[in-house]
Amino acid sequence: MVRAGTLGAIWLACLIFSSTCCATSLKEVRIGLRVVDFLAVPLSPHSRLAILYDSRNKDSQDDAKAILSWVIAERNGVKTSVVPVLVDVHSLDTALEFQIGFLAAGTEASYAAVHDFARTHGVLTISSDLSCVRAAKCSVGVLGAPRVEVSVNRQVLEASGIVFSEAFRMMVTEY
Amino acid sequence: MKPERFHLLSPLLLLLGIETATAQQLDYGRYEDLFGEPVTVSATGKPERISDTPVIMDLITAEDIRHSGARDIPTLLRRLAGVDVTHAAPGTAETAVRGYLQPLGSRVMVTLNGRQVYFDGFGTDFWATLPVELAEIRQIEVIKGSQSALYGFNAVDGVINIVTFDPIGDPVNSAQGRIGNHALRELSATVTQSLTDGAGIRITAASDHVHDSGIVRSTPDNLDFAKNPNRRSVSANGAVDFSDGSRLDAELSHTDVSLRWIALYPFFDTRIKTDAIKAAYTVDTAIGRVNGTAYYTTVDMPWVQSQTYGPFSTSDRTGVVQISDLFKIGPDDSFRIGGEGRRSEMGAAALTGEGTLSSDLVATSLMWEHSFSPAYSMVNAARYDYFQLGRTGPVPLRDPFSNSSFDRAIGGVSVNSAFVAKVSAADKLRIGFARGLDLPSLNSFGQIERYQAGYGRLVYYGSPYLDASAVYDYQAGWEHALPSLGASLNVNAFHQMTMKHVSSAYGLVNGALGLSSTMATGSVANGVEVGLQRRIRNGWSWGANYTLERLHEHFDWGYRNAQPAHKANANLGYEFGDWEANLFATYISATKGLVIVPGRPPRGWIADIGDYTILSPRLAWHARENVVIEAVAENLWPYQETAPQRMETSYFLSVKITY
Repeated sequence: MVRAGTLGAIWLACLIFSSTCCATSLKEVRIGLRVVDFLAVPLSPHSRLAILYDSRNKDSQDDAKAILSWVIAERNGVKTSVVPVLVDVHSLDTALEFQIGFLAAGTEASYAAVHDFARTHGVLTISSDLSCVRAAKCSVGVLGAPRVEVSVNRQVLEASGIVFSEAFRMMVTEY
Repeated sequence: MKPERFHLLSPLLLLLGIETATAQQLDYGRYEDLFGEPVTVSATGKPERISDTPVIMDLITAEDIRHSGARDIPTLLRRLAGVDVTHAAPGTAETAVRGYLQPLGSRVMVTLNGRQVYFDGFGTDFWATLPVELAEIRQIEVIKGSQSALYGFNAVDGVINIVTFDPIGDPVNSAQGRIGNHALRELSATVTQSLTDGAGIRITAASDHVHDSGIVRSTPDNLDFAKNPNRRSVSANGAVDFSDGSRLDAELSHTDVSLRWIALYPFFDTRIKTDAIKAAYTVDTAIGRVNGTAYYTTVDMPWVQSQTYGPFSTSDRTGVVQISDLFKIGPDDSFRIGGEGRRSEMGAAALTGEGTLSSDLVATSLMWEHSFSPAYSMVNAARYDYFQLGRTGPVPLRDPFSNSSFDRAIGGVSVNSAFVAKVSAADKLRIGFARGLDLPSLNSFGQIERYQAGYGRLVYYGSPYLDASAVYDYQAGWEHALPSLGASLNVNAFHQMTMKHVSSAYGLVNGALGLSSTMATGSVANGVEVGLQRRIRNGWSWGANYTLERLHEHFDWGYRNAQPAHKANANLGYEFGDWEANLFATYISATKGLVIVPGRPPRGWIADIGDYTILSPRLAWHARENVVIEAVAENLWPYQETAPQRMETSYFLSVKITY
């Protein structure tokens, strides 16, 4: 009985967290959009923001759609105007040029490919998965709860030729 | 070193980049949007989130101000733990952080967007002369404890930095009218205009008037000095964001104030005119974020009528140049090197024997912040100040000091060290040590006061041989978040030692009995502050704080008498539909104050000032989306606050329109 209850609890937890643990939140999208305002050299107006997703992963597609709708809703509240587009991580080379890449959930398997692409094309990559930043695969990590956290990877930024303002660097966690 | 030679050296030091800065341009609004909490540069000189700062500070936000019902900044400050505010006249306010309330000789540095508004001549802050209206203020940062390593001499008890809204990103467009009893009439308007994309200007004008009231000893002599406080202010703040990410900020302001104020006990009627011009440029470079700031401030009192030594006038000129470089080495270490050059001149005709007192100061500073982990960080700062005193012009015949007596330099090192530990998601511990330097005002160095017959005909001589006094400050704070209540609990304890005070000693000067300023024994202040504040504004809001303070003087200079041992504040608010209701209460325990009555001989005694409670209700109605009507009672019943001043019941009605 106890064993069955424990297994049931584990199954329930897996069910809950498998669908919510890595999904990007509205708050994280807001933070990600605002981070772009602190680049040392501002991006040109109407820069393209690619929401990178894995077309072979349903959760990733759903997360990307949610991010897209939030970006459209929130983009007027930030200084740097962006044009959002959905880009499949498996078709990076054929996608239209973009300056910012927002990684949707479920793209972990493609972190290395995204990193290589960002490095060669000077793309600012943003993820709500901080492990991507710590692993030197993404430029910026954002976390909305329990406290707003912004982290950047100096090595990735340097490789991509991206520079944030010195004041911004003072207030974020650097790896 | 001769002042002239020293003056030549200052620009050279500036060019070498070893000057210090206190102002740092930052887009507060955008960073607050990003992190979901206010940010500051006042605490350590580097931009940081309020929750990350290692120093103990209180923050008054624009939202707090809107719900406060306050007419001025001292009223807002009085509601904080550890901050004492008294009025020796209706138009003035004396402010102290953790003790040492006194009409002249403030130990708290007040800055407006980084510009020091400290009046060097008398060593004080005249709040009414600040060219800022409450509607323009984004936040008021109150840093407790000595901050000399960042702000230099005189920031020994704390710093109050007023940050206004950004004229580019945070437009303020509002007008406010206010009427009340005691013939209170106030009118102010602010307009923000975007010039081009990335450039903006905010212009503010204000006019205030109220009748003088509350003189405790209403003798004919005192009533002759009743002076209705009047204030006119106009200011312009502009900024330009350049395409390379650099930014230029500029300020131009003028205030004209007439009021009655108090020194020791006797009354002074005066008009104070202040003008300020400031420019600051910030740019990210290969060597870090470089900021250069320059400002020039004049404070003129074209006439002063005093009970003690008759009429006089004063003129004070201060020029400041600051430069700083903020940079990060590696992921965990931030540095800020900086320097400051400052020249101040005070001419006060009869009060300075027709001569001009001057001071030249150069300073260099270094701040280092190290992050051990996201949970633990430490900041250390040190600053060296070199102060050169000077005097030019005629020397009065009977003056014991010649101009060469003032050719004197004072140097000193200030230190700040603080550590913050986020021991859990809900708990932060802060520990700090500081060594600050308290420098006498120009008035203490070189003023000559010839007292009138009713005040004993003594002559007071300032002394060029005064020194800076070291102040050692130890403090610890615990902040505990209570998410279920949407509140935070703060407990702070402090221990502060002031090694010396400027005092007066009797002596024979040229065969006549006189007074001269001198350095004398110091004092120790200890205290505890406890505060609980709910920050969420929906529905009920509430908060309370309590301060216990003990001040021990090695000799009775009167600081202990003026210091209330107990102070408590409480606030309660509720929002319902278009209505807001707030109630603010303050309790101050009994103090004592000096009373001086002219005569032959003049008499003086220490008067008891009983404890008092201030109750300030506020009711606001959002009549339209852009119209707020507010009824406020500043205090529901009269109370005696200082030996010369009783605060009368005060109530008023305001209408604020935003456009």
